[in-house]
Amino acid sequence: MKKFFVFFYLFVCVFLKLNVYSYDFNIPNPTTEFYVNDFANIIKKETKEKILKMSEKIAENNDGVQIVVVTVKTMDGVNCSEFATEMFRRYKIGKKDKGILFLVSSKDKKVRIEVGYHLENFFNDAKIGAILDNYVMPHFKNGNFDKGIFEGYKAIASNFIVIDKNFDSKESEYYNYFGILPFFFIVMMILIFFGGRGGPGSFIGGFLFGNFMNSDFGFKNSNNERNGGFGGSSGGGGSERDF
Amino acid sequence: MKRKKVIYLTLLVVFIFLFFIIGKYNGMVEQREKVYSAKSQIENLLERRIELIPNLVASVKGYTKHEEKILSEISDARAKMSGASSLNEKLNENDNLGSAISRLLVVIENYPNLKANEQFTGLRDELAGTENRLSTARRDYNESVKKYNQKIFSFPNNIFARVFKFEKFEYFKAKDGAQNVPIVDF
Repeated sequence: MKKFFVFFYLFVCVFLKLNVYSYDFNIPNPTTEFYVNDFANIIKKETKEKILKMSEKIAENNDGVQIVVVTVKTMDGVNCSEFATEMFRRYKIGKKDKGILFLVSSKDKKVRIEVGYHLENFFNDAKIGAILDNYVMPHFKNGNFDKGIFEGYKAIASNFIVIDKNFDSKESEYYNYFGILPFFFIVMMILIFFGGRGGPGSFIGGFLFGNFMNSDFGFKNSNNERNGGFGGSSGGGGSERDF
Repeated sequence: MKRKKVIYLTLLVVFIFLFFIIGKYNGMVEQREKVYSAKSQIENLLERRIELIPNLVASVKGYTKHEEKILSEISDARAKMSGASSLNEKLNENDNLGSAISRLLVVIENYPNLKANEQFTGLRDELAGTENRLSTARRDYNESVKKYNQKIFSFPNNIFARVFKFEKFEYFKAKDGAQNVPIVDF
C-alpha cells in the first residue's frame, strides 16, 4: 500500500510537472510601460518618461536591444544576482538575448546591472562595474536614487543612441490612429450606402469594417506593441554594488 | 481479400508504433543534448576562471608585500583545478579556489590603494561575474537534468529509455560556500 502511494505521488509529480526544486522568487509582473517598472517609487515622473522614450528608440534602432529599469522594495532575502537573472528571464528582455536589466532594491540597498548573453562581449562585467562606480554610486551615496538611475541609464544608453535635447521634450512620436478615424468612417459609409445590396461595394465595406473592428479601433497599435520582452535570456552576466 | 486487409492493418499499426517510438526517442535525445550543452557551459566558465587568476595574482602582488601565503594558496588551487580530470573534481577545486579568493578579498581591505585601483576593481568584477555565471550555469544544468530524468523515468518513455540505454544524470550539488566570505581569525 505504501509503495502504491509513493508510486502514485511520483506519477502525479511527473504528470503535473510539479516543480519539486522550484525557487522562491517574489518577482512582480512588468508594468504596461515595460521599460520602466518603478515598484519602489523612487524615480521621478519626468525621468520615467525620458527613460521610456529612450528605451523605445533604442529597441527600434538597434534590432530589438531592450534596456529595462526595475526598482523593487525588497528581494525577500534572495541573492541579488539570482533574483536579477530570474527576473531577466521572466521578462524576456531583448531580442536574441540582447537586453540589459537595471535593478535597484531599495531596502536591500543593492543595485545590479544584468547583461543578456549576447551583449556580454560588449558590456563585460568590468565595464558595468565601472559604470556603477562612476555614474550610479556617487548619487546613490547621497541618497539621490532618481539621478543615479538616470545617469547610469544614460551611460549605457549612450552606447546605442545619441542622447541630445530631443529626449527632454515631452511630445510623443507615436502615431495617432484617431487622426484617420473620420476619413475611414466616411469611406466606409460611402461604400455601404452606395455600393448597393450584394455588390462589390458592400463586400469591401464589410471587409474594411470587419478589419477595423478587429483592430481594436486602432488603440492597440499605439500602446500595446511595446508592452513586453522580445524573448531574451541572461546567463548571469553583469555587476552589482551595495549602497 | 480478407488476408490482404489484415496485412495492411498490421502494417499500419506497426508504422504508427514506429513513428511513436521515433518521436519519443528524438525527444529524449533532444533533452539529453540540452544536458550536455549545459554541462559544457559549466566547463567553459571554469576555464574562464582559470584564465583570470594569474591576472589577479599579478595585480595584487604589485601592491602587497606580506600576502605571499594566500597568493600561493590561490595559485595552488588554480593549478589543481586546471589539472583536475573530471568535472566534479574541477568544481570541488573551484570551491577551494573560491574560498581562497574570498580570504584574499578580506585581506585586501587593508590596502586602500589597491582597492581604489580601477584595473583591480575590473578584475574583481570579472571574477565575481564568472562566479555568478557559474552558479547560474549549475542551476541551468540541474534544471535540464531534472527535465531529462523526468522524461526517461516517466511511462512509456522508461521502456524505450531502457532499450536505447538512456542513463540517469546526477545533479550538481549547489554549494554556496564559495560565495560566502569565510570567517578569518587573526
